[in-house]
Amino acid sequence: MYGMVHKAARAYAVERFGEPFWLTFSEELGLSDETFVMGESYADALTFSIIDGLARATATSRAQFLQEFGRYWIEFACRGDYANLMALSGATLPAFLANLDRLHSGLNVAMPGARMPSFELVDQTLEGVKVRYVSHRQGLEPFVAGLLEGLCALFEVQGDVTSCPDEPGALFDIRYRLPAAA
Amino acid sequence: MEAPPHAACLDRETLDFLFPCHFQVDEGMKVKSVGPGLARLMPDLALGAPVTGAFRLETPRGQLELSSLLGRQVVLAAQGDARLRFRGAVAPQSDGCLFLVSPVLSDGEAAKRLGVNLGALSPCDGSAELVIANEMQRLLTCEAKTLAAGLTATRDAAVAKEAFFDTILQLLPAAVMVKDARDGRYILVNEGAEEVLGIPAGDMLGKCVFDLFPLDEATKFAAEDAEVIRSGELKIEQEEAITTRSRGLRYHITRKLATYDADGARYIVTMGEDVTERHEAEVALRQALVVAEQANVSKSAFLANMSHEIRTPLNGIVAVADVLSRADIPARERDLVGIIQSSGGTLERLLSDILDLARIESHQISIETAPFHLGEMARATVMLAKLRADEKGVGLTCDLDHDVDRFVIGDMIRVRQVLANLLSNAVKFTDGGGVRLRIRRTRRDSVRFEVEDSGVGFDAAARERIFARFQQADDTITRRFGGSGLGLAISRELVGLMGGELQCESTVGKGSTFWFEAPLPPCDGVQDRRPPQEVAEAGATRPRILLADDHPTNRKVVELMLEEQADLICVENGLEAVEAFAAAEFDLILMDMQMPVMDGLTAVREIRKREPTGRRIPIIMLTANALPEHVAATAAAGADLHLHKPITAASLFAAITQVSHDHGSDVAQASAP
Repeated sequence: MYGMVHKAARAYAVERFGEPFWLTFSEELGLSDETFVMGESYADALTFSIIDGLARATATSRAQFLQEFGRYWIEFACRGDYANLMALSGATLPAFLANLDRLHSGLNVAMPGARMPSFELVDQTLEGVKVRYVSHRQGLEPFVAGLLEGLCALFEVQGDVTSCPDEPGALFDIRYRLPAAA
Repeated sequence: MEAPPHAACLDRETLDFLFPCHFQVDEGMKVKSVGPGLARLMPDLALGAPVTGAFRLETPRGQLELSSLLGRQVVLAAQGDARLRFRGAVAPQSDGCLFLVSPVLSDGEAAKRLGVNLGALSPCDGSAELVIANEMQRLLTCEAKTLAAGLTATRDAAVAKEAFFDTILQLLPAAVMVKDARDGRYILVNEGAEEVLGIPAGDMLGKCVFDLFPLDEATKFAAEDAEVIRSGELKIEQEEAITTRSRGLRYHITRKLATYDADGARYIVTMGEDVTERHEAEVALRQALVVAEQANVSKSAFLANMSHEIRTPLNGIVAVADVLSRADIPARERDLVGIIQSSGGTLERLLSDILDLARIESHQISIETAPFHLGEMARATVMLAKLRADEKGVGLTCDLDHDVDRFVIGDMIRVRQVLANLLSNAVKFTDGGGVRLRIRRTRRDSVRFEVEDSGVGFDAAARERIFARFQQADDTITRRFGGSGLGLAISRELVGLMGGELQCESTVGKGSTFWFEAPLPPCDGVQDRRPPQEVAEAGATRPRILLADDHPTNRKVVELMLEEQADLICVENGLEAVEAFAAAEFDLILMDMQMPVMDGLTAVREIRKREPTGRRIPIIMLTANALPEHVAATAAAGADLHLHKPITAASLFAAITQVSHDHGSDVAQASAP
């Protein structure tokens, strides 16, 4: 994965546990001298070792942590370097979801080696939206669920996110609790 | 130019999806319709309004005229906001034309500023990818600048740190030199090194020790380098001789250590401190020590000679007075002889004290460790003091615990000397009441001696100075009781040498207690091997005694003492004694130590060599050499007893008695007065 994910993980750890924790944590992972670079591609194994380490630190499962990290990612992206890209991607939840593939397509131009997931808005009603998610990577569905929850919070939509397998990916269903807000 | 027919044929929904910012104008160049994206970006754009009121044509240059734009690529700028620009193409329509355009955005910042999102960008023209890629480019550039700034800060910090350490390095008074471990060439030299070696850094850098120092020194330095590389340990040379250009041969303490990297030894760091002054001081000190030791030897020889030279005439005085005192002389003359005896005794004690003090000061006294019977020593010492106590009517008791009445390991002579001094003082300063010696074991290896008297005592001020040399409690006491004031000073020094401390407490008018503890571990396994004393048979014949002494007075003194008890044959040196021994039989030999021709020690050894097996003649070394080394030499030569001058008839007969008992002979009985 690209370094933007690792930068977010570092920010999460520092915000939650403090800089000394990260220094110890990264040293234990053999990353004491590592400065994550946004446009640099890192091995997925490293990414998952960070994810698993932080899951241990938060006393949660990998899936639970991924979901929390997904929510954090949206918050992190909106208040940091990626605020412009987030704003560019849409002003409403459905518009944002509809533009996600275009966003990833644009990112691929800047980072040609990136293996981006695909998000397809397959249904949009007053009651909610459905998004089909397909990725080369396995096991990131909790992260996607967290991302969608984060987006709901970003666009001030109260909704519940559920998912079910939908080969070759998963189908995520966001049901609005207050349809008028959509 | 003919417009592409397919664009004009798209239905409205498809057109809105493909070009959200499209707009149509009629033949009069008035706006007919607007795509949803453009409507959001330019909400004031009214249908029917002239297009020239909304847009300005940037490319191609010219007027927004239908005829000139059909089928061409265009760039339009919004009249109200020149930053809002559109790029696309113009397609002809039957009643006007269709502008298929999308917003031109440099990056995400521009999109945010203009309120444009992906929904306003055409999926067909790459405008979305362009703005995202540009935004990523901006972000990556920012990140690169941040990283570069960080690197610059790190580098600046490193440079500052290097400058800081370089300043310290240069300010160090010590010489610091660093060599590349791979070729042994200097890569760093501080000012301290320049100064002590007298070589500018520029002349050292890039060179090796063989370029800078004499071959023997360079070879040694190179060997040290190899050693520290091999061992990985710090090597310290306490006094390394280094030839400098400015100050000749200097001596340095050098510390040398190798540093390593993945390829092995990297650098050899040497730190040197010029200790030439200290070295020279040490050399001078050693030389002074040699001189002092030589002086000490001379002093010792002087002391020995003085002791000998004083004791020889003193022997004449004391011994003759002693002989006289035994003669039948009038009372007045007897009193005069008593004064001579007393003065002689005082002079001898003073001589012994002064010699002891001199030996203590020159650290010539060593404490011996040998088995001796503590109880017997104590009782014998008390017996000597008791003579004087009895004269004064002072009671003297000896209180020994059971577990000290046995053999112990220690220096009997020095313990006895201290005890004798304490007892003598106690008797001297006590007129009524009594004196008590108490000896007990305090720990397994330690014995406490305590001398308590009921004498005059002394106050706290006197207590402070009582152990000082030539001091007594006060001048009155000095006048009243006499004495040199050296005894306690010597005793305290001797106790200190034995590992203890002589202490005291006293109350004026009530008495004093002096005590000390000395390590005297019990000695198990030593038997009293003295032979049982034999009772000599009555009617023994007069013993034949050989006396060797070069001094006529000394010979005369012994003659006077023994004339009634023994046949005395006198010779004047050791050789004559050996010859006399070979020529005739004797029961005892009295041998002086210092004699011309052959000294007494040599003579004793010669006699012992010539003795027939199974017969050992008693030999008493009768000498003015009274120092401990003389006593030891006596024993080493093979004599049986050391009796130092001045002598009295009593001390001579006691000595004869002792060696006679040791030999089981009847000389004592025969010679007893």
